[in-house]
Amino acid sequence: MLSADFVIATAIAYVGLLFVLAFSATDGRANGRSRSCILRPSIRSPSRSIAPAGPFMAQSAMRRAVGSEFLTIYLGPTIVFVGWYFVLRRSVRISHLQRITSVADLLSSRFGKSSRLAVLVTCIAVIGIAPYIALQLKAVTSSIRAVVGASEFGQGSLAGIDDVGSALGVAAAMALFTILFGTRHVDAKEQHHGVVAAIAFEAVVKLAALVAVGVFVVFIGGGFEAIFRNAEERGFTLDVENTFDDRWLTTLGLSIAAIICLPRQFQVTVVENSDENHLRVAGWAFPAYMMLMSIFILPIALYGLTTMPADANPDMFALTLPMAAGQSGLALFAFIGGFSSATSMIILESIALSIMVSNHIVMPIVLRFTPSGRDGQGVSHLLLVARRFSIVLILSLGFFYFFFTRDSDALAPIGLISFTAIAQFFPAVLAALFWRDASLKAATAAIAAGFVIWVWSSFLPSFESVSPQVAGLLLEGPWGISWLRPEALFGLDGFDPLTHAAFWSLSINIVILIVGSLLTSQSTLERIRANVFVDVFRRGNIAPSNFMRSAATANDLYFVAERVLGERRAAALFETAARESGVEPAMLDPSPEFIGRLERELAGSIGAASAHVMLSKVVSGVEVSLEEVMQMADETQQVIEYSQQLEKTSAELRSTAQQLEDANAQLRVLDSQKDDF
Amino acid sequence: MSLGPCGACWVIMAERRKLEAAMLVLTVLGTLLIVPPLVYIFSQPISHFGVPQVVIYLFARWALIIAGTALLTHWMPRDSVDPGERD
Repeated sequence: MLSADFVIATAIAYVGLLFVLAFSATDGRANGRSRSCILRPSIRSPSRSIAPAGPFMAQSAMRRAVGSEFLTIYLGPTIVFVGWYFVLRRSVRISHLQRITSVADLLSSRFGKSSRLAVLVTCIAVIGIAPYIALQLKAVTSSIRAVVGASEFGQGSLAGIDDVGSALGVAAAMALFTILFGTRHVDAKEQHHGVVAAIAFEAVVKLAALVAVGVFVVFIGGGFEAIFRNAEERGFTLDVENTFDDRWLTTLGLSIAAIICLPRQFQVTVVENSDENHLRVAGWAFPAYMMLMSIFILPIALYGLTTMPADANPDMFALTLPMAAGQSGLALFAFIGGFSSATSMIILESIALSIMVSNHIVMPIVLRFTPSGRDGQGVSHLLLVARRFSIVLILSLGFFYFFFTRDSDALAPIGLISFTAIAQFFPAVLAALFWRDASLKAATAAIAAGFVIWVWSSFLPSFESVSPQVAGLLLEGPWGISWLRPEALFGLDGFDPLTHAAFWSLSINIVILIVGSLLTSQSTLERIRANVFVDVFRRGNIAPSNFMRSAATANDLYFVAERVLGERRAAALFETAARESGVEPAMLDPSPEFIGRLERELAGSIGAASAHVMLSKVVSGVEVSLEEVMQMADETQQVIEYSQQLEKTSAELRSTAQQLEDANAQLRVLDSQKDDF
Repeated sequence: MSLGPCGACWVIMAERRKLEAAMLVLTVLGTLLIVPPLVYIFSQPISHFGVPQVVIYLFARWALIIAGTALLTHWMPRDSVDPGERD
């Protein structure tokens, strides 16, 4: 039997192990680059995992009829990775070339480096992820409870602490770990090799623990066949009639959107991806990993339902089944597996979000209010501080959501609430990658509208159990307007709440994006960026500079670069450029290509929008020349059109003349016939 | 359609386009197989070897699609490494 203190000590020791791993991976990379490159494809693929807290804790509660809905959480990502060639390859290539640091950065970079869009996306991501963080906190606390609750050694140091207290403890510890793990320095490409190594290790531990429990359960249950047969005799059958309904489709769609747009997922798949060719391995290895994860879920659930008391929590079967069989070692392993999965998700999610907050909200404000060029190394230090604060903020939001919704029972629906919020980025991301005519105004309006509907129909109803006002709102609608009821919008009544929220938010989002893009026009910069994104595989690898000619001297630029990149990297960058053009670094004449490269380097640290703002301050008068060029292009276009029209008109004239001539000839024939007559 | 700088390149390009199309088909088909109406064909209350038929179907499709992706990816020529990698 396990005592509370022992379990907690094991968890802390495990995190310590991860810590050592993360540090040694960072150092190993610095010393022996080649070794880590060989290891990389094999360790990276399992690190992309998505299921809410893994199958240990967060299956949708399986009650009398067992649905196979939990599978969609894995089946959706499989589709995305099987089709890696189309969406993932494109976004990885674009992100490498443009030094993209997050989803917000991707969207803002495509839609004319708009900082407003980046701020919007960041705010939505921070609010939308809160339920997800809450889910992980809930999973960890209830698994501690499940392991310790049955203990005969008593609660140890956990005595007298309720769920809220332990969740607060877990949140605080997570904040501390994430700050220690993820904000040690600002990396040029926002890649955290140590963190990735630790996450990959956690993924392996998770899989090993689940397979161990699964094999154990199948063994004591007498094989797959016996487990399914016993469950059927007790009345627990797989609900084949009602599984493949609208909810199946919704969760499938949401998991597809989430695997691309979740900040953590984007971070691991796209930003941390140091080589595009890793996708070739991930394309089959990641689906295979997920398939292995799900093989034992059903037997564990069914065996638990048949043998455990009726009030046992189905989400905790992977823990409680080994304990009931007296295998506390296995139970501890399963606990570590689940703990592993929850911590890795919290750490990665908050690192990714903190990068977004610091790059897209804090940085622009700082740029606006500090006089440029005084604080030397200040920016990169400031970024770290901003990241630490935002990690604390993100975990606090997650904790508050947990606190207010602690009475609702099932785990998985909370995760899907987050998925619906994040899915609001999906139409805009697809448009950014494939559709040339999508405009900034339309994308901003679409995402904002989708978010508002999400808040109303998905986020708000989750507070039903704590607030009588919200419960009344759900029944009556605001001011008694029944077609505005959050779970029956516009008279669409009687649907599953998740399907309802996802349907309305996403369809309104998509309609606004498409119709809006057709009605509004793009700015010059947007048009250029659209071409850079859509033609990424066509134009080779030359990203055109946005700055046509510059009034800036190398000195001004160096000042900006030093402020963000630090002295060493800035100097290296300028020396390389000077060597390439064969002059002294001080005499370097900044060419458009060089300014373009500098902007991408800066974007890797502070995001595309901020980098653009920062350089625009120095390189003045740029947009004007850009406009001029575009106008010239437009004029040429007009001349071409005009001459085409002329040609068409003259052709028409010719054919009219021909017709006249024919008519004339006919007349003459008639005339001669008349004469003959 | 114009011939590239060399004939062999053109063959590679054509091969690549076919593989791209095959991957698209695999992705779309893989999706269609797990949504209504196709999934209804296998979602009957029958069991084989004690396991419900639809579970066997979902996992078999999963395994096949993984094998298909591995195979197509193996044949797909590698992208040239982009210069963004070198720095």
